[in-house]
Amino acid sequence: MSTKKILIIWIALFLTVPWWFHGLSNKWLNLPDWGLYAMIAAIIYSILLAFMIQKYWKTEEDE
Amino acid sequence: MNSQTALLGPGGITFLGVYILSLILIGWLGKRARKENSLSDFYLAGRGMGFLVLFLTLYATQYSGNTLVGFAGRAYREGYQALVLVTLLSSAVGAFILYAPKLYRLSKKYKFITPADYIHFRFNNNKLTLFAASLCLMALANYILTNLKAIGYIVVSVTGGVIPFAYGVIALSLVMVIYETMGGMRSVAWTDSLQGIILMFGVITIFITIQIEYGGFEFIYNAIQTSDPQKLAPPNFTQKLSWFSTVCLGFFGISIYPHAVQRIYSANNEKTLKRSIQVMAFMPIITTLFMVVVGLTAFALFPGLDRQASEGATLLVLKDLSQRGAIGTGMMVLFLSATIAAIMSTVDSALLSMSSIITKDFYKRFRPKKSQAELTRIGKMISWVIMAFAVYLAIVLPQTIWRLLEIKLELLIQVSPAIFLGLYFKKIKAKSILWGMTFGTLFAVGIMVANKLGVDIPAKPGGLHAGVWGLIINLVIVFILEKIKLSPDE
Repeated sequence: MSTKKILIIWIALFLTVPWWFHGLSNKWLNLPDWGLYAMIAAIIYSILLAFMIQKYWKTEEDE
Repeated sequence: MNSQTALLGPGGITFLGVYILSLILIGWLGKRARKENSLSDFYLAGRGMGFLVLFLTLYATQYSGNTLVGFAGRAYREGYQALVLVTLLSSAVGAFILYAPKLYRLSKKYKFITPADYIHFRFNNNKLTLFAASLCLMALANYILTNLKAIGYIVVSVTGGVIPFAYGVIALSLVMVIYETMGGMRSVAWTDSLQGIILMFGVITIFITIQIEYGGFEFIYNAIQTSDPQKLAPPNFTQKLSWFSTVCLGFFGISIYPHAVQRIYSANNEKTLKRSIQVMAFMPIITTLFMVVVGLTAFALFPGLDRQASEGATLLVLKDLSQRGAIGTGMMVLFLSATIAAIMSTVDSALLSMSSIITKDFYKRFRPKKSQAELTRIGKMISWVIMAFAVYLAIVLPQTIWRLLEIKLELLIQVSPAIFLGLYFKKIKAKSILWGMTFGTLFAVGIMVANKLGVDIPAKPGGLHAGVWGLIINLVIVFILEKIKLSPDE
């Protein structure tokens, strides 16, 4: 796995933290906005991992 | 407690008892499937695990009793900030992507049994190997002890105290050590498969039931807004740093739990491993997230509980659902089985891993001429000794010492540079890794112990966990030693 993939995994992980939310929260889909962000970010991160495994993990059988 | 407060009646308890005893039968089947009397067969199921068993054992091992009980309690206390726990478990899968393919190929070629086998192969330094193995052992021992304590409390809750804490711990530990020593990893993985299915089914069912019965996120949001609107506020900067620090702990700590590494070694081929880890990427969503929602529901229903009472958040929701008639005895049995399954599948795996580390990394290193059959027999004896000692400590250890047992990932995370840097940087030297590991561990443990003993040092200086600070120091030392070529290996 190249440096590029390591960076993707870490940048995505960094983005799962709700850094951008300050002060009072708003209600979105029955959740505080930052809570909804964290939940969706976690789901997207899981999908990204599954995608990366599929695309970049070349097994000995594949090779 | 008396029998009137028991979570289950005699029928439910009998069913649960039959389920637990059936694990011994599975253990016996695992023994019958043994192919040879070797360490590889006993500790890695002959490196022959297929997709379903590998995935379920990875799942059941990764999600312990803490997921079902502790995570809900944390969600109760921290509110939506407990969503970090979902990413905590996902980050471990991210780490698998980085190291599992390379490590798996090496393990197949050089027949590794323990994580320290790789470290010895890569760095060829006895001090480093033994230090890394010792850190793994300490983390696993803490893991076993805290889970044994949890299992004792569950037994007391289920039976309303008819079976006391100590008897519950002894009985379930006995079941675990019997099936573990009968068939080793094969028995553990097969029982994990059953336990994993029950765990997944239990969590999904409880999540769906509370959505239907209480109204899901809308109910939770409105209740929190009324009782404690502060919990709706976004985390401040220090809390955000702590959030990221937690994720780092998962990435470098949870991913290298020795029993997880040994499951990577156990795959029958790389494609099986790849598919299992791919499915594992989604498990935090349908397990951790669901349990966080259970904890939030408990807060919405019963606000104002103290820390200790909030640890029973899951059981409170279950009791409430039962009183409302939303769930019957069957569902209660299912969820309690899932909780016990989660704990047992983690303890048995950690026990097997400890036994393998003591046998392979310590005993065999000093008795290299022992045969595989003898080592396997000694490994089994070690399992019994560890379990007996763990049971004794779980029953008698004073509360002040229990606080120190929370130090697990803080220790394990210091081993991660040996694995990650070892795999990716061919020129890195043993001495650099050893010094980094030593100072990182001393720093992390120093902060943790001082904090838990009441010294005025925060557990998370600047928002970062002590273990993460230790890892930073660890990596800085490795970097400096490599840069200035102070390493005596040069």
